[in-house]
Amino acid sequence: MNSIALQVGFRDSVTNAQQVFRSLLTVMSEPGVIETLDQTEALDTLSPAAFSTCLALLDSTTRLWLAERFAIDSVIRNLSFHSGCRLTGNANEADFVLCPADQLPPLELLKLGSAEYPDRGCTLLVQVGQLSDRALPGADVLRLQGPGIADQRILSVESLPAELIRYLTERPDPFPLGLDIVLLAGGSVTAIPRTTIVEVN
Amino acid sequence: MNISTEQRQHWIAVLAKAPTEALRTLSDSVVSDMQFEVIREPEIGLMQVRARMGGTGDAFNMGDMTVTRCVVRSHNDTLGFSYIAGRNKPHALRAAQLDAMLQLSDFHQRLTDTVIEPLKQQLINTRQVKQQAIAATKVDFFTLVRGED
Repeated sequence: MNSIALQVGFRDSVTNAQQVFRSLLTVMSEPGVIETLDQTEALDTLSPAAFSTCLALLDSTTRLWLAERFAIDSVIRNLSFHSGCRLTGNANEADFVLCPADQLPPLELLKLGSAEYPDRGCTLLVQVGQLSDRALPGADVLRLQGPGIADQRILSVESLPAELIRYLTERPDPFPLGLDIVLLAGGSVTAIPRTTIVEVN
Repeated sequence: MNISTEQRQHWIAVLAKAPTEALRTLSDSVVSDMQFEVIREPEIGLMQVRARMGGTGDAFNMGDMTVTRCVVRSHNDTLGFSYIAGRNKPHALRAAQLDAMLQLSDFHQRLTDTVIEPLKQQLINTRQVKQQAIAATKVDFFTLVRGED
């Protein structure tokens, strides 16, 4: 039996799921704010923040696309055991994409929803190196403006892929369509929803 | 240890259907000094039951039932699963623990003899008593065709 692959998810499923969901709501409505997310242990190549987010957001009605580094036996087994989510090999039908910073799927393939139902677009969960609200040496420093931000907010992201920076600064999709991006690093999380205007310093 | 799917299905079914009190009395002593890691806390949920008309016809949704489920891991890395009808967390936990232990060669025979067999016997007896009680109320109508010939 390969029972060793299964590990504990949330210690207290109801409370933890609510805490994680609350944190995700906070970072979505106040882009660039960094919240702690360590309700679970790390799962193999997934950080605690990434595993917690998956457990709170995924269920049997959501389709998940996993990047190559995450599409390994222990991750697949645990995610489908705890959340019951369906995996898909086609990035263009995924509701959620989970990938490390250097293995993004082609962004133009992802679901955007429609003008009537912009909420049916794909949410991108990207595991990055480090997040900070101050300028980190060697990291990409983003200046965020828009709804949920009083003036402007500074966000440093280590190892943010150039493709994603281009997407964020150019915003090729007509509003209200667009990708919402959740950035996960170790035990912390932040988000850049489709409404945020991004400039790179 | 080599266990066939049928064997495991059998003991899981017995553990799920057994009366909670009997299950606990029979297994308290064996389980008490074992260590388990709870992978999925006992949780209560709703499951949709589907059936086929006349057993072979089209499938339809018969209704919903409450189910309690639980998963634990024993110190020897075997996983124990349980799905119990109704809301009964202690029962689900105990059934999962016993499922995990029954897969260990050290406990398999002992547990089969002291827990599974007595519970199975008890289930058969309860069923027989009920069948007899119902059979006693069978009515024969001499003037009507009952539909069996």
